[in-house]
Amino acid sequence: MFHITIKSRIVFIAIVLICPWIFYLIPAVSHYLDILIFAGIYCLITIGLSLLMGYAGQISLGHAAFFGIGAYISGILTTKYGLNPWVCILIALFVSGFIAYCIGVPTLKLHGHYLAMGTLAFGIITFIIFNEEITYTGGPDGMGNIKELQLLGFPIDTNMKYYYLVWLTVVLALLFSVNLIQSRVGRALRAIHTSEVAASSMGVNVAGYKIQIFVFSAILASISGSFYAHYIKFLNPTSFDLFFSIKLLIMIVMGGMRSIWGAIIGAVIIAFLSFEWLGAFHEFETLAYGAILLLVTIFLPDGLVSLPGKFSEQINKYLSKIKA
Amino acid sequence: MELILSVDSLDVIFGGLAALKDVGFTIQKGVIKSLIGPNGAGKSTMLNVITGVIQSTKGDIHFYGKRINGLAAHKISRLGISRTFQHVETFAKMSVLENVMVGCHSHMSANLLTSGLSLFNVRREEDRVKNEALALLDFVGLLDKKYQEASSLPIGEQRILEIARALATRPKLLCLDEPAAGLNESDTNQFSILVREIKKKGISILLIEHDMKLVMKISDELTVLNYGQKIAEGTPIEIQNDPVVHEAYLGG
Repeated sequence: MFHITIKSRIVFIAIVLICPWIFYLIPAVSHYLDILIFAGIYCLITIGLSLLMGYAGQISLGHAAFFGIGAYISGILTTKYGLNPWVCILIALFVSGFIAYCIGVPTLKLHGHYLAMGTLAFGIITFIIFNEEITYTGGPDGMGNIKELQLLGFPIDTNMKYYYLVWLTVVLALLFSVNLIQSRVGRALRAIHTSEVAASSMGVNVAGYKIQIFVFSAILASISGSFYAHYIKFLNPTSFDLFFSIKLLIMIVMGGMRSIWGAIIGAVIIAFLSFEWLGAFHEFETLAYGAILLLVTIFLPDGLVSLPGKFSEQINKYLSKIKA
Repeated sequence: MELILSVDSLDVIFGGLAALKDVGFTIQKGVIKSLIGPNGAGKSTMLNVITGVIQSTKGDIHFYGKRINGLAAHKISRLGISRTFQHVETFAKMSVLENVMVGCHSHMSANLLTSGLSLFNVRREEDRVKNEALALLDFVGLLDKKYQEASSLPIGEQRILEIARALATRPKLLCLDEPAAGLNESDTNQFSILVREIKKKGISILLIEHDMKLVMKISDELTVLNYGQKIAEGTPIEIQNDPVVHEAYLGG
């Protein structure tokens, strides 16, 4: 499951490139493009979370905070101070990385439930700041008037353009992460996941790697937040609350924690569920997520990515039965 | 002979309980030293202190003249002390080959950024390490299992895998914590041949083992611990004829 072939990468890039045109050409599903942009924004976070949780085995319930920090820094600096949005994305990325480092040093010393609680507390504190710092964030009323992004003087003003901006970033993040997994660093992360004491006895700086990957995932979440701000153009603290952190968790659990593809599949499915398929549930939406999480953990502990493998296993069993 | 490790008047106290009290011994280059004693004598504690998993309360450990008490485990590993575990700690869901490649960690230089970008020298380093790991698997006899998941190996082979992984760190001192536990007789013979091969490479070995036949056969020197204190030291023959050791094992 860990080895990711060149072929699968090319197939993935091809799907990313072709997908929007299919939706574009069929009017009945043309709004799917909009959902796919959100899916891409989620993917950026879940790729980082997959490395942090699935590979290194460190739980975080506070990643909505880094997403929010990215979004608000981009929003505030572009609207209130008129800075170049790309510079703002960079500033946001450094600030998020720095905060992740400061938070990571003490919290990553914790294990299991305590780490979950530590990151959860961080997420809640950040949410309160978004809510209360009305002069900057607009508080519960939100902040609007965020401008669209421009690339080399060309405005990214259509969904199609924004789709490619977001998803090409996802492709870059994915390729980077795939390389990472299949390297010295990836092996060290997976070693930490199974046995910290054995990893450190093999010369792996356990604390150092935990912090590095925490910072890396925070940076991805921050970029994602900046893209979100420039896409939706209006920020409200509830987009960055505890429930969103949990939703991120559901994404990677549903897709499959032990594979980077799981992060992508989970993000896309949850995006479609929350913007399209679960609309009929209204306020019972949360209930539906709970049910999904429950069903996946019971019946598919390795997530949806394990489905094709299980399926072919069953077919092989069936075939060998027929032969016998 | 060159002195590589010296332990001097070492105390390890957990709460009020002294797991080790005033223990001292030395290891020379290229020697197989065994640490024996009844259950609870403090053997594993000693090994954990040397490898930085547990901190000592008092006393000194010097490795090539450098004091290593209080150093983090990964730093001690980089100085050249590697180990296996009493309860196997292989990286269960990684392949046998990847397990050994984790052992190569210290003599690689790729970091998060260069790995992610998969720069040319990163790929070259990866190839070098892969060949090195394959050679080690060949050396211990697990080459044909290189792509199997570590957890799918029987316990005896997992112990051998731990040795290969430890060797991958290029140690000067290899600590083996009950490596023959759970091995049958032919495995044990294989193991003793392997240990001698490792010794031939000039690597010193600190062995903790309950199989006395094995210990007496392969050790150059023994240190006997009982209730956290050293009660005897010498060659296998001296220890076998030591009345104090007999008392500790059989009497009381």
